[in-house]
Amino acid sequence: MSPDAAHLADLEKTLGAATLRELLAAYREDLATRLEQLRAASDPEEVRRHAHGLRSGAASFGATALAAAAREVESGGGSLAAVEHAASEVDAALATRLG
Amino acid sequence: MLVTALLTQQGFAVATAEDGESGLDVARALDPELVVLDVGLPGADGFTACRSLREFSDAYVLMLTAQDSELDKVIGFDAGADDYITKPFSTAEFIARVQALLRRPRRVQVVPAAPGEETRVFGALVVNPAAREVCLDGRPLNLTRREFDLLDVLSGSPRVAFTRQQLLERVWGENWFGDHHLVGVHISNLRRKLGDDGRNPSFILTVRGIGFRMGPGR
Repeated sequence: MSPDAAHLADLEKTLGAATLRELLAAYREDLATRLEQLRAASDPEEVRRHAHGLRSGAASFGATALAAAAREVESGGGSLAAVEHAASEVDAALATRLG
Repeated sequence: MLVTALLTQQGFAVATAEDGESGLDVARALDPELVVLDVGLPGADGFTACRSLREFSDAYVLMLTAQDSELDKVIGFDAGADDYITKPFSTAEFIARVQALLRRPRRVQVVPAAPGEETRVFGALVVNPAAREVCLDGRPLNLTRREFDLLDVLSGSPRVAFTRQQLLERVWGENWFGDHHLVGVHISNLRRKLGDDGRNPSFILTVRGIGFRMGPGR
């Protein structure tokens, strides 16, 4: 599921379209980095930390499905595949929005 | 980054840190009014960082987190947080919570100046150094120690243009090891409290290429 449209509209209203665009572009890069870190993590604490980072960023932009998948992994359950799937949907939505 | 954008848009000078330890270093250096603290910080978690912050700072702390359990909120308040907001939050709620925090009286209100005691008047602004009291339009302002000290130096020599280095030495001390950016951050906060427009200030003027000096007021 892509970032929540109502939440993005709220951010755009407050910050303006240009600032939101910059933030979303930065978030897209951050998402890719954090996903890479999660893939590479082996230590459970490292996995928890990177999953939390993914969840935190996703929650900030209303990407609830990714936040939920990351939360499962953070709690010691879930699967990396579910996180990857949700992250790819967010990335695709951001790519469309950013053009 | 989202919080930085929101606070900047609201006119705050913002400093950021990537983890708890460096956040505490920044807080020691800047003496901020408000700390927005993510519970899920790398390294020391937000609760631990908040407890450490409380050892030297009375800044307002707004905990920001993806956590949403009742227990986390209780732990957060116990660690010294003033308020708590869970992601995703509406921008209006975030801004309202920040503003509500900053309206709360925290620092000890100084006693009003005794009659005849020296005051410095710049239009609507009255500075009483002995009482460490500043009033704008007849209402006392709640300044941090650094903000008051900066205003004290500037208002004490209103015809002098001070360099950032001079202000750093006068307010933070000659042995302070920090950069001039600190002065700009505190001046920015001070101007906001004085209702001063940084592009066309009345109270604290920017002297291009030098630093700052006191203005005539409004």
